Amino acid sequence: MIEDEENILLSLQFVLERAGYQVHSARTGQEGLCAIRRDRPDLVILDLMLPDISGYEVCQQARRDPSLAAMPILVLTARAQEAEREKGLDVGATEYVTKPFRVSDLLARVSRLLDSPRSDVRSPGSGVRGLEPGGSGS
Amino acid sequence: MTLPSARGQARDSRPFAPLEGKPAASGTYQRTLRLTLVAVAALPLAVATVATFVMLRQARLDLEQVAAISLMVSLGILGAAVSLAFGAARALGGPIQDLCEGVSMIIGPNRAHRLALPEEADLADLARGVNELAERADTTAEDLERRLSSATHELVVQRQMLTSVLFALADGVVVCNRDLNLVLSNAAARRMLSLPSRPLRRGESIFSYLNPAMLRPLVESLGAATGGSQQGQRLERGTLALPGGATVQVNATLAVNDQGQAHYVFVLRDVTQQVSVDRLRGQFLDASVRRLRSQATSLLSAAEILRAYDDLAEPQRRSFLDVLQRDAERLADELDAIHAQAVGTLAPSRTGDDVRVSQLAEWAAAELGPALAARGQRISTGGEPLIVRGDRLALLQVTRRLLELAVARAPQRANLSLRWRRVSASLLELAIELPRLEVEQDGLAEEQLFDIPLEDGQPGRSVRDVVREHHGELWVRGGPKGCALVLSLPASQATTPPDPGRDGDAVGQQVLALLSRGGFYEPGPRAEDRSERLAALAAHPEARLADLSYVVFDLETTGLEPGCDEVVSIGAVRVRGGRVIPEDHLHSLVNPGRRIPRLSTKIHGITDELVAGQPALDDVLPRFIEFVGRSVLVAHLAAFDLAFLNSRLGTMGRPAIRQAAVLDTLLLSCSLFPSWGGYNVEEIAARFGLAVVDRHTALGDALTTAEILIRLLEVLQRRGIETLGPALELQSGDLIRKLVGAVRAELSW
Repeated sequence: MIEDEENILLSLQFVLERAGYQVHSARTGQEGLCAIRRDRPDLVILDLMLPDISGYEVCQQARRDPSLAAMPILVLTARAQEAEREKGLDVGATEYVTKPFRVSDLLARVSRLLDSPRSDVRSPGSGVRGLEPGGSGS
Repeated sequence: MTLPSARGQARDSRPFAPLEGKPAASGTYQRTLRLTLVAVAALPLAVATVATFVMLRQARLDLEQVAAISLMVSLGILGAAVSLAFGAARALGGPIQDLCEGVSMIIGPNRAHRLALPEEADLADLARGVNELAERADTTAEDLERRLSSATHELVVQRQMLTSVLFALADGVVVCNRDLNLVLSNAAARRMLSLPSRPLRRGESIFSYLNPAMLRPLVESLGAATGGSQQGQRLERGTLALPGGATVQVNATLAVNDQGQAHYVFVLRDVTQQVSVDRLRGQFLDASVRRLRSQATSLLSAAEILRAYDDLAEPQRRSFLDVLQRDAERLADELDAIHAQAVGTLAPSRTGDDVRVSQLAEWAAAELGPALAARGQRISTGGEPLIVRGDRLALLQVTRRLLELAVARAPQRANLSLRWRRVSASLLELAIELPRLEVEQDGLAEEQLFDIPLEDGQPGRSVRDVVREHHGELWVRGGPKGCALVLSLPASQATTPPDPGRDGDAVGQQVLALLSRGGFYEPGPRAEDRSERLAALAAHPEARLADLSYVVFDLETTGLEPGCDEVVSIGAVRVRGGRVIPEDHLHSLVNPGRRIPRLSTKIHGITDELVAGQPALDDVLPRFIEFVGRSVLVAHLAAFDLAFLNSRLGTMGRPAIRQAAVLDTLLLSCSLFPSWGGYNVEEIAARFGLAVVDRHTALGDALTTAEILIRLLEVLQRRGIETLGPALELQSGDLIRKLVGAVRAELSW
């Protein structure tokens, strides 16, 4: 999980661990990229507005490594404009969730992404639509 | 008597109509002369009579004989004197009468007439003097005429410029005199104020259409504040709610001209939507803030209670936790609602132009032509008709900068493409595709590629800033076959820009008519030679007719023979998005370097004097080619106009414009409507119900032809011809050749 907002990191790490997942956390983009390359996680939860490089850049760089091309990336962001969402999905995000979101909804998405066959994962630039923004609605 | 014309001008063949009193004066002169001569002859007569009488008396003749002989001698001498007087008077008086008649001619019907010099030296001097005076009077009169004509021309040009400005303004303009009677209004003002579509009569009171209570306070405070001394510097502003529900903001000022006449100038801006959105936004924000305050209060209280009281019973603890959960959820919902409203109905109105994405792409591609050529790269463009609303110039610059980036970072001799498409109902993307993006290994993140200034050497607004201002995004899309620089922008639902209101607008027609005599187009200097592009235009037969821009042009010439005759005027106007862009025009008189035959002047009204100080075709042609740019050329009977242009392009060493690449409204009309009897501009215009403005002026004819083109493009689309290639093909074929033959015969060309 790459997130620079301490409170969100704390809460999400807690619920994810309580749900049985092992969570590595990073607070900057570069730190996150190193962790991804080193730990090869099953899923990345990524904020877009990070203190060094943007989440978009993290996404693009990770996707350049063929061995990481199929890794699900769930973008968690306050950027809710349609063009921003389109860009996020285009540079390699698997899902695009806008803040605020409900923890229960996030857990459901994480579970689904980890269970889904890898062929469902969107490849960069494929034009496949992700879920609607702010999918935390109900 | 035949009088030679002093300056070789043709003699006035009209019968001479003598001015009243002139011949009478001449007759009096002759009578006086005759009487004087008779009087002078009477003296020697008396002396001779007395002398005869004395001599005869000395000869001792009787008195009766002497008297009889003296009387006979006297009568003989008197007869001789009278004959002499009449003869002399005739000899002296004839040339003087001629002189009198000549002077009457000069001050009468024929200013160019000059006096013939009589043989008598004194009279010849007089005639010379009169001729010189006439010459000087002539020069003065011509000078006066020239100055008058120059001043009138300046006045006309200034009036045209003013009218063009008023026409182009989205703001309404109303000018009234001090009694608030209308002097001038533009189309925008009439739309806003729901004034009749006909031009208001000069002097009609604005209050016939507007409640006086609305404008009066503004006018009175303006009058009171300026007191007539600070006119033009004081601006009064007010907002009027009009009866139809619209709201306009009015800026009023008082202008006083050189003659001390005062006029109120009202500039009106339609702020209906802005006012309504502002009101809704205010109401929505108030309500949201109230709800957020109450939710925050509830959250804070619950959290504090949970922390402060360790001894809460389990049911109580749970109920406060429920409060936390519920209010946090309501907070999240509230944020979603605010976001939806912020990007939806309450979004800040994006002012700006409706810009065709194809225009952004094609302009950028044209600008980068030399850079592409230098690197041996090629570019193709294409996409569906799409509109983005925003700052046209900034978006053009952004597209150019991105393409520049692609050109610089793509490999040499690479094939680039510029494609645009609609991604969703409200989003479009413009992608510059290239085989590989060469990024220096300097740790530069791809994201930072776009932090380039909008203009070279002008730090401040960057490409990314402009994109953000337009709620768009920029990124590099990587893919197996290459990569793309992607620009994503909110898309307008429309696919063509809205018509700003040329709904049979009479002022618009007037402006178009006025423009046809204007010629204010001054393109910036550009060294690049675009004539090759002109020649290569037909290389894009797949281009959609609806997406293309057209330049419709017309020439006026000294005659009908391209080899011998020359161009005296060129007019061109651009058509884009199914409408004429009146402000986008070129109009220039051309000095043909030879005399213009009177017969031609009769047709187009262009005289030798008018073209005397004008540029030659060699100077105008590069401007024309520059103006055409990548637009498709269109003309009526294009072969005629092309023959003139190509003959000169040839001598300038430039490639000719291929007729096969030029749309011809005559050929298209023939092909689409073979049953029509005639195909000249008036006939086709009449068929389409179009008004013909300023026939036989280059710009007037170009404008009429442009309107014809728009109708023909509609017909083509209805008949399923949507691209340039098939439209050009329609122009060839036997049927067309026959028809052109018929038309040429009709035109005697």
